Amino acid sequence: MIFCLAAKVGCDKELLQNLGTLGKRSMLMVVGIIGGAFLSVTIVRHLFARTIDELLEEGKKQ
Amino acid sequence: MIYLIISALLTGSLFGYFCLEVAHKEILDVILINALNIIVFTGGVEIGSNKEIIKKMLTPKTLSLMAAVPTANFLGSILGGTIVGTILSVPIKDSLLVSAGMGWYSFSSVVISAMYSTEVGTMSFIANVMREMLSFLLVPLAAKFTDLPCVSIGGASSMDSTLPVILKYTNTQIAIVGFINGLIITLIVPFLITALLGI
Repeated sequence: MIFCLAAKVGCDKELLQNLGTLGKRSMLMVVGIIGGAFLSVTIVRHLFARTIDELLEEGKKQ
Repeated sequence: MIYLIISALLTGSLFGYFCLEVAHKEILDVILINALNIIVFTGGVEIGSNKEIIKKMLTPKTLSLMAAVPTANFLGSILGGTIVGTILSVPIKDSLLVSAGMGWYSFSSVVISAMYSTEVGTMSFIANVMREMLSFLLVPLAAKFTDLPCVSIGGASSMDSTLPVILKYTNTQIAIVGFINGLIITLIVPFLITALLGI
């Protein structure tokens, strides 16, 4: 499937000319995506601190 | 796995560049959609076969946590991606589509490429492959400072490829949350991308 996807990109010469720009944009967007996800789940970690700590304690007991 | 992905990517690009024309895109779309159907079916079988994990998900004590983690993961990913996309002058719909892939590059890039735009599909592919690749590096690093947020880095891949890394660097409880996070994301991504494509 990845092969077909890459072939589809490879046969589009116009798209290949813009690949550098697309790559840079995608890379920067990943930083935002991961950063946003990490920050949001960090907030959840604080909101559910007690439940998580209890879960971790149960794990230690087992 | 990573080497296989890189090999498929390189050989596919070279094959497309030297052997195919833009007119062949339609044939590739048919192959891609059929391959995708098989992948989604296999994913469904995998999810259904994990009965023990599903039982653990139904425990009242952890149910709200299990719902909160993927919700926060979705909101954070989409918000973060859209903010950066807007700064880079990427149209909002395109930013939303790229962010909504949640690391599931084999699905999101194929659907976006076949049903919307090859350009945005390529962006989605690069962004979501990078998310999975970076998670192998970032989870061990993040695990030195925290536990639960480690499951957010890989997005949907926290139920498969990133799961062993989460398990190794955190603990079993966090890995279970990671699995369920990935499971819920995997279930929602197809609906979310389809909905976004309809806008």
